[in-house]
Amino acid sequence: MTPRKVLLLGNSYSAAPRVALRNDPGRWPGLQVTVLAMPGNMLAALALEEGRLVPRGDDARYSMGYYNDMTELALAGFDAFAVIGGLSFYTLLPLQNTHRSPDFPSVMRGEACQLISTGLMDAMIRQHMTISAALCTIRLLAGLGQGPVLFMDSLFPSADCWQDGERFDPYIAMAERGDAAAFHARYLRILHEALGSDATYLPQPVQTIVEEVFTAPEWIRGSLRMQPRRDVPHEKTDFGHANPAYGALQVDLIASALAGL
Amino acid sequence: MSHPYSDLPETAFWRSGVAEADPAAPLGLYRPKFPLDREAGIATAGSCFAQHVGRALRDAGMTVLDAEPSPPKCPYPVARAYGYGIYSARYGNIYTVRQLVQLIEDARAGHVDPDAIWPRAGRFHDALRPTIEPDGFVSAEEVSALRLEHLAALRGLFAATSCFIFTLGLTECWADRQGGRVYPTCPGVVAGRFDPTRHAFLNLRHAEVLADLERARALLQGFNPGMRMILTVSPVPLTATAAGGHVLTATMRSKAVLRSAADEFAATHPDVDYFPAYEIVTNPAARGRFMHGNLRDVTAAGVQAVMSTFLSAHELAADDLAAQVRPRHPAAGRNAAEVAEDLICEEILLQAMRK
Repeated sequence: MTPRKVLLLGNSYSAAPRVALRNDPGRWPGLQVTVLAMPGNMLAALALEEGRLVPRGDDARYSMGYYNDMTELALAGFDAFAVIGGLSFYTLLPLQNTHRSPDFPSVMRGEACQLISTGLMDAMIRQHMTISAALCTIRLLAGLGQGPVLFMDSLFPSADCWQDGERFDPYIAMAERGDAAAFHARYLRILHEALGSDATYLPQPVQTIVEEVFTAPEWIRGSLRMQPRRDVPHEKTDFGHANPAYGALQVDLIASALAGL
Repeated sequence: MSHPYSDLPETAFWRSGVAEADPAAPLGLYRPKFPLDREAGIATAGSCFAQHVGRALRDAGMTVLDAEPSPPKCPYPVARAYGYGIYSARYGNIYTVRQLVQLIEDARAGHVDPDAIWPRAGRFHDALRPTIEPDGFVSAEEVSALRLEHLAALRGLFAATSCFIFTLGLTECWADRQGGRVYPTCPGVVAGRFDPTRHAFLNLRHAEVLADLERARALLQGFNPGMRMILTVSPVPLTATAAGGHVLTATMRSKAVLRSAADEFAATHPDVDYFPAYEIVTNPAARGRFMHGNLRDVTAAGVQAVMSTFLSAHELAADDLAAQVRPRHPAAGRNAAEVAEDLICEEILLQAMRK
């Protein structure tokens, strides 16, 4: 049976598919998607209790109520899960700002850095993934054995993120050094190891990627906040969140992946 | 009637000084030869027990140098597993003074010994610090490159160190017959392959330990002429002996040699002090409570007795050493017992790898 009743869980990056589903429900006939959106740290504070997702602690309870108008969610009836966000390649950037291993292209070219081992770099990435909201949520859902779990991490920053140099200069520097593609390939290798059989990874749609590790701005501009009651656009200086058009691509990928299972 | 013993203080008598004294706060046991202030640049090194020393000094607000800090955002468990933050640099445990001497010589020369790279299961270990990479390095070239960086960091460390605190651990070690290089572990235990035609067992004698201490001091003062040393002897017994006898006599022999050499060395140099960590932990008045049930690992109470004695003697007592872990310490949240037992010790692998 092709799964059709899907629970989509995510942090602020789930706003794009949520709005896409609301705006154009007819695009995915037969696909019933319930969205549970919370800030990432609150997502990691969800627990399973007798087949229900319940928040642990007052902050998580408030967050679940504020963003979803519910204080718990019964999981019976869902036959697939999709986790959006909660882990991002971008957040691993600080690991390689100053310290790099010999397999980085820039190190192979002899550019100066603080040298660390290949094993240490892998271990740092692995540990960050292991404790991420995404992996915590995925392990929880996979443990249910109730249906497949799909995972889409946060998309690459926008290609025009140079406008916020304070935040994105290190990312741009990584790309300019020629390290970004190799670092991302390493991230994906370790992510696949970390996911194991718990979840299927859905990569960022290729048509949205430019210069290997950036998102074309047209998939970013017009992004909306996680605000559930009204559409609140992100500031123009937000170069990280996707717009509903990208969200529609994400739902396409989810539908396609589930059809193929 | 007057005689040399008639006016001695209580600490000079076993009954009042030991049997009836509090082993957790032994009065008059340690009188520092020179002061140690919070601004002194301290480097720590030595056998596993030395990990307690650095941690307690850091928690007490002392300036414990770290020449190889972990990368930014490196999660604490990963940093620790990869040998960061354990000592003042990422040299791992230094069990013998001979090992210390060759480390300083290597740092001075920027010398990487290609024979000290041991393969295991497709990975490569730095034989001179075999557990700093839990899974080994990806290539021999990576071992060399990282070791060169390490040695460069050591040169900076030694130049900045005003007080070098070294814990003497063992006299038994394994050496390369040809070059004389000693290893922290027997080849074949963590990595490499034991070859009796190539590897020789050494059980360093008093004169050898003393000569190594002299050499280490001279080398260290070559980096910083004003550097002082504080020596301790680890109270942790040998995990195993290869000397052919009983591990109990081997342990006593080893500790006696180290204690004796440290005593003579400290007595000879005004810039070298001895701190009696060994005596505090093995004090019979503690009735064994400073040792865990395996009679090898030091308990949190033992570590606390050692470090509070050291700090109070230097008038640096931490406000609450019993808490052991201060908020600024990355291990915050763990209790003293967990911290006390959380040592990285290659020597214990001898037991684990026993047939």
